[in-house]
Amino acid sequence: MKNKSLNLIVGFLMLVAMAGALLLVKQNQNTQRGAYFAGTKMFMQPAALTGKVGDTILVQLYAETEKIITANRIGGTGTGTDSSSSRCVEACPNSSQKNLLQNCTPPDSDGTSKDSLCNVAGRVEDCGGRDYCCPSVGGQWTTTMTACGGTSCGTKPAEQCAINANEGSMLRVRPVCTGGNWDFDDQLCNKAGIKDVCGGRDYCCPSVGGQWTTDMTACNGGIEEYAKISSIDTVVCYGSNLSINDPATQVILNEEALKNKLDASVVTINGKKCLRLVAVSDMAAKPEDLKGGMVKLVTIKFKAESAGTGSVGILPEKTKLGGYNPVAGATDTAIKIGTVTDASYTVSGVGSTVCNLRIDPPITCPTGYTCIEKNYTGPTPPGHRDGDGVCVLSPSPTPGGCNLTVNPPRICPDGYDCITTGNSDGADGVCVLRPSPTPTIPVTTDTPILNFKVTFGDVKKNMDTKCATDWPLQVIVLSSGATKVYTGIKVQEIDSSGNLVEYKGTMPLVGFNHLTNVAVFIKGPKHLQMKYATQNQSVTYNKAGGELTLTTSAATSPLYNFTGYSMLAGDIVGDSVEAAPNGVINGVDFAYLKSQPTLDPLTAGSYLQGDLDGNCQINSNDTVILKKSLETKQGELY
Amino acid sequence: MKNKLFWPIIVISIIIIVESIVLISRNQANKTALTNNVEVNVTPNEEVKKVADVFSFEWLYESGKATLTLTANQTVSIDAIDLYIGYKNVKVDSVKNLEELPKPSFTKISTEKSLVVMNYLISEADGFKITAGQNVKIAELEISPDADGGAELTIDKGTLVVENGTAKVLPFSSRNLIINGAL
Repeated sequence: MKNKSLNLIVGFLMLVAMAGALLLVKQNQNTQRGAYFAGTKMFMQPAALTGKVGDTILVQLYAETEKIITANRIGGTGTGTDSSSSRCVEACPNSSQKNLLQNCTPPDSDGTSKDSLCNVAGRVEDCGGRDYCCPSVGGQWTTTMTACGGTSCGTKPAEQCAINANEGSMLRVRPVCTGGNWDFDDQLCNKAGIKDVCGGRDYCCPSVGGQWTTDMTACNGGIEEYAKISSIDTVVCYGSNLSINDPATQVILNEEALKNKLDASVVTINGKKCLRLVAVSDMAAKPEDLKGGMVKLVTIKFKAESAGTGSVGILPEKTKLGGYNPVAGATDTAIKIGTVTDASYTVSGVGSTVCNLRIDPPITCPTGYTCIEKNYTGPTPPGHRDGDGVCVLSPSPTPGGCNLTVNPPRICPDGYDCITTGNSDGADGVCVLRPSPTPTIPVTTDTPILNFKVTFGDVKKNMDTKCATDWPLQVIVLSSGATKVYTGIKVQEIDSSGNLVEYKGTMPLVGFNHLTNVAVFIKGPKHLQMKYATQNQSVTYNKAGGELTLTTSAATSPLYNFTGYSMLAGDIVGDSVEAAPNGVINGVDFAYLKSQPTLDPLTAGSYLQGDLDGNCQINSNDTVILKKSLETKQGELY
Repeated sequence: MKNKLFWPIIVISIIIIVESIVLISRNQANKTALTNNVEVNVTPNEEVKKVADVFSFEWLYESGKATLTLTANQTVSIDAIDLYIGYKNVKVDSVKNLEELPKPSFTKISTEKSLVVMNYLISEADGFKITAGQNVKIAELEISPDADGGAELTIDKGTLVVENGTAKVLPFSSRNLIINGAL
């Protein structure tokens, strides 16, 4: 009896233990992943999409991975943990090869020693904080400087730790005797969290373009590193006014971040059309090859099917990011999504599609639209043929289309307003498309205002530039390490004093709280991004940070004139002709231009991505402009 | 053991253990669909294929002159070559176009970045046609290798060859030119 009870208890306990073990195993598969990184954001750019029916509307999906602090030191003789120094073996000179100095004060950029051979008589090099002289070719390094004849630099000068804002805050450290002069190792404060030692004291760079300071608070943890992305599994849902008919061509990965598209398909979730996207980075990529921080993941080219408004949104519960975590390494490869920001879209009703009912075959309008022939008075403008027209939403606004007094009243369809014309009995009117509400920008009295003038390269005054209108800009502002991106910024043509057409813009910098030391990065839709940091700038600004000062009033904020340093035109497409401009001018941009010639100019105000001079067509002048831009940029870079 | 429950308990325990192993194995199999340390619940539906190289860059070296050639594996017409040649342990004295291609739009020896940059942009509407097997000389570099050896010329990853008409970047292979100190 005793045995029987014991067996029953043992059996029951075993069953409970097994069930508990199973439950734990299953739960462990799903919990606590991404614990190291929970602050990663995903968002769309631009945040407000606009277009007309028939247009292709581009939206880019970005991730901004969370940053963490890891220890680092770039040089000096301080006492912090230094991963570079630990790899560096200093020998002044090398005991078995006396003609070789191996200097770790500081180490080379790769963390190893900076090696110097005694191969030039009279050469002076620094090693371990002392000067060494090479007395003869192949000889042994010596501290006896007289052997170097007149090349001794004399007493080593003190390191210069004075802060000079005009030079972007620089430390002049580790003087080295070179050719009879003392040459300093200049360290700019160009990376948040870096440290250095100057005059025996620790200095910290708190932010990009900031001031070196002895307050080490911002550097105590070291430098910032980001989680890096190696994969994405996401669902992006969009309204019925947009479509993705061919995911293979309409969904384009940023191959620098994600190389392989495993799945791109349109699915329906809760009655909404959604894009399911699964992609991974290059299989052979190492952690250092992966992208972290602000990463563009994919460009989606929606087709605008019908007029309306809605949103394009990421489903966070169906989104997973994978990647490399500099803290956890391979132990936790999940990156948890903290916040997700959707984009809104507005598709306006009037199609930009040109229609023509007389030529063979006729160019017809999409479903729901009517081709309205334009009535030209006088000669037909260049580029137009008899019968050309535009597609307008049906029913078209027709006089008498609405009447508010007759019984029953004739009312306008949804989305249209009845505007009385005063004709007939005074109640007849036309149905006109209700204008989309202008997005209101929450400008407050403490919002900085940026007034600026710019020019687009080779959009020349007194030339045909009828299509150089409404070119949207991307503007990035930077100050004290803080940045803010604004897209779709429109500028207005103004009277020009130079050879190029000048454009003026005024924009409130909502969400940007800096008024001094501001730098502005401006990129046209087919142009390279340019940095502007001083008034009347006419050349490249080669320093960190900026010198612009703003106020919170449009009337008093200075009008910055950047027209002397025009935006270089030629960044037309990305790595492929389907991809968005990628910030470089290369052979793909050139070949795209060659493949897109337009024989007849388009109408004024039309937009052609390859039309660099704004004359409404793509021709040989555009290729010449591209070549000039390429030459200028390559000359700066290399 | 005389107890009647002994064997039933053992059997049930074995079943539970086997079930646990099967469940865990299935979970792992799902995860292996995942390539790159990533948790995706799909099986890749397309294989990443290695695209056949259309061109190969090769080097000829003689008496301080390194000649870069481009050999086509198929007949193709090109619109542009953005050529970036990296170098180390060597001084590049000059670079010239051997006039088999049109004059480059931009040429520079960047000592700061140890790169030779040449941008060929072909203006002719039909591009520059290269037939299968044809070998075109792209550039000649006059170089002075370091006495210590280890001189090397490489085709940098920024290099692009772009097809006429489609503006597609064409795949290519390349080899490094390594010059021993004894040469």
